[in-house]
Amino acid sequence: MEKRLVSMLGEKDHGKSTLIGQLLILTGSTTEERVAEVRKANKGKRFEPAFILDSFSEEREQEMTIETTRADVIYKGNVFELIDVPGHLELIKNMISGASNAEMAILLVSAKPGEKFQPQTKRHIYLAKLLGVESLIVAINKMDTVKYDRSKYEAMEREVRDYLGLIGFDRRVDYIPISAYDGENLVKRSSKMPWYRGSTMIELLERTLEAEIRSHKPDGKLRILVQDSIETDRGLGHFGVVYSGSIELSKKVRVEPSGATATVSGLYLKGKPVKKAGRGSSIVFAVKGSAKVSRGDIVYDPDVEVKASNSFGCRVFLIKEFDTKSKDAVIKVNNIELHVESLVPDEVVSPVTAESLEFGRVLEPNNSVVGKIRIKERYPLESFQSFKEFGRFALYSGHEFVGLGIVE
Amino acid sequence: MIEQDLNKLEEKSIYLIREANAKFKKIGMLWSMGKDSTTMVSLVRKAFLGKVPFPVIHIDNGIDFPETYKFRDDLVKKWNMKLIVAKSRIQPEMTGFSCCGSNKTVALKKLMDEEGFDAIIVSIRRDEHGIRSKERYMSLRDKDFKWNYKDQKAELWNNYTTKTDRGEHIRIHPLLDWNEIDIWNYIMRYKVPLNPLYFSKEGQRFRSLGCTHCTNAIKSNAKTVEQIVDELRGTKEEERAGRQQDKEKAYIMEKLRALGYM
Repeated sequence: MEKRLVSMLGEKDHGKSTLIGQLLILTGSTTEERVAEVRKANKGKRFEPAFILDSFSEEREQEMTIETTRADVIYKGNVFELIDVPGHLELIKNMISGASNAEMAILLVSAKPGEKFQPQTKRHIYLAKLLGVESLIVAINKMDTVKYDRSKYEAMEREVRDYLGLIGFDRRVDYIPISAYDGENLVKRSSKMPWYRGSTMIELLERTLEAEIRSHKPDGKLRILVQDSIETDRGLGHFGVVYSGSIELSKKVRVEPSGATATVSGLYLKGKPVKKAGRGSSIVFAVKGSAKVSRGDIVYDPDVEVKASNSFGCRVFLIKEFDTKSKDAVIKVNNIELHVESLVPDEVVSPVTAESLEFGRVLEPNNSVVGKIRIKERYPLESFQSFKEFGRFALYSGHEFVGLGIVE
Repeated sequence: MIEQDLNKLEEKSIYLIREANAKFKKIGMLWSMGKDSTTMVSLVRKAFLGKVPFPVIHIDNGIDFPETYKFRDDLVKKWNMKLIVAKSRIQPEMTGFSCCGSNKTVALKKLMDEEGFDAIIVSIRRDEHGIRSKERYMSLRDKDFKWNYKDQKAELWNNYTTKTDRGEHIRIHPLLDWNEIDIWNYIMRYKVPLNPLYFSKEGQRFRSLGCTHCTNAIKSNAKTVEQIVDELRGTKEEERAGRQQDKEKAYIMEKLRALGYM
């Protein structure tokens, strides 16, 4: 069984929750009792598949999603954990929290006259690219409101395609016409759109999953993030997470930012001594030699070409305004805090139009900043391209989350 | 019911527990002696090579089951834990929502003020209840214990909220990703000691454990962990079907959590 997180993207009311609800029903991923319950509660009114999701009971009164919610769609032994996110502009930090771990995304764009391809939808796509979404399914929704007209679909598809080209979206993209409310093209091929010869939504999810498994990179060189150190019965031990590669007893390693080398002399997994531990493991390890190891350090195979530095090229999406001369700005990388000396923009770009904007000392929210970030301490960041887990950060001003960025 | 990769779940939980330990000054861990928080204690022991570095907290309203008290005292000895009992006073006229709200929450608040905890580990899971699925791994509570769920802090790429202002605290949720069946698979794999009330006696057992006033048993013949796992694989009934507080009104859990309930 494979399980994948799939983030929903798109403007409010373009049908994200309805699509999840309908997929849950059509794949039998929810119980009949649950469906009957929703029908009963909604007696006399139009049946709303969106209400299938438990959590929406708390949000029904306002008829909008406030916080992210997850629901498992089970199909032919695979599980797609669909993450619903709020579409509102002011709730974008909740959208980011929900979508940040997903490698797949479904973008909903409504074909309904008057609803169109909105600026907020464009921001979601832009963020999806920044967040590292590897594949996107673009669903042109509400085809029932335009009589399943092929030319309407094609015009919409072209508009999205143009935008993706504009921002240089270089990941896997599929397009599909659907009606989430009527269940058209979700699990069965729609008889109302015989002109569409592509796959159904659920087939697209399956194929995307397969493509993703095929393209999975080998594990690569060792990278361990050190969380903490403790005194054990056998001396000093370090807590760490293996982000890539594997660690073995007697292996030679290099520690950054100090650059010191050491030899692994002890290794524990789930409380028990082991000889080797691989990617994803939460380990305890000890080293021989004079190298000091402490929280925030990264341990590598000696031949990994990553060196600590205090200046990096970056692309930052701001969700709050940001003073480039701020004295209390920090970035966090895997919960390790690094103090920001300065953020120097070369360019500020609108994610909606991809145009360069004028800027001053205080940067406006909802734009993307390309420039250089300087930190007070040296740290081994990598480019997002080469190793994304160590090439992305959250930006704070004091306690407040103000944006997210990647190293370029 | 979806069974997930137990190894991945364990590693992530251990990571979160250690991350919390590195970032907070004083952590307490709620332990109701139920299956989830006992699994939690077992994971903490793995994270710290057999030790439990935080005190475990029992919020005791005096009306837990006798089996629960015995189980507590036996395991505290066996696993060498520091137990703090926070007594809460039961008010006979109250039930469900007002009872849980006034007793347990008030008792915890008092204890946290006395002990100066800046974070507590709570064993909730996303699949338990709609509103719980909106929690972060590390969720902020204000000085009145309120959860401002409409304006939560962002949480992305393993970056968590770990700073608090005076009087605020963080709820740490290392089991958030787990499903009910994963807990049972874990208990089965590692033979975790368990409160005997979970096992069938005279055709009944408890699937979710609260106090004697508000928890009802379900019909079941499952007498072993293996039988419980088999039973769950076939069930369509919801886990908390026997819990009074969840039934009163659709939004009751939301209210309870906003007020600081676990």
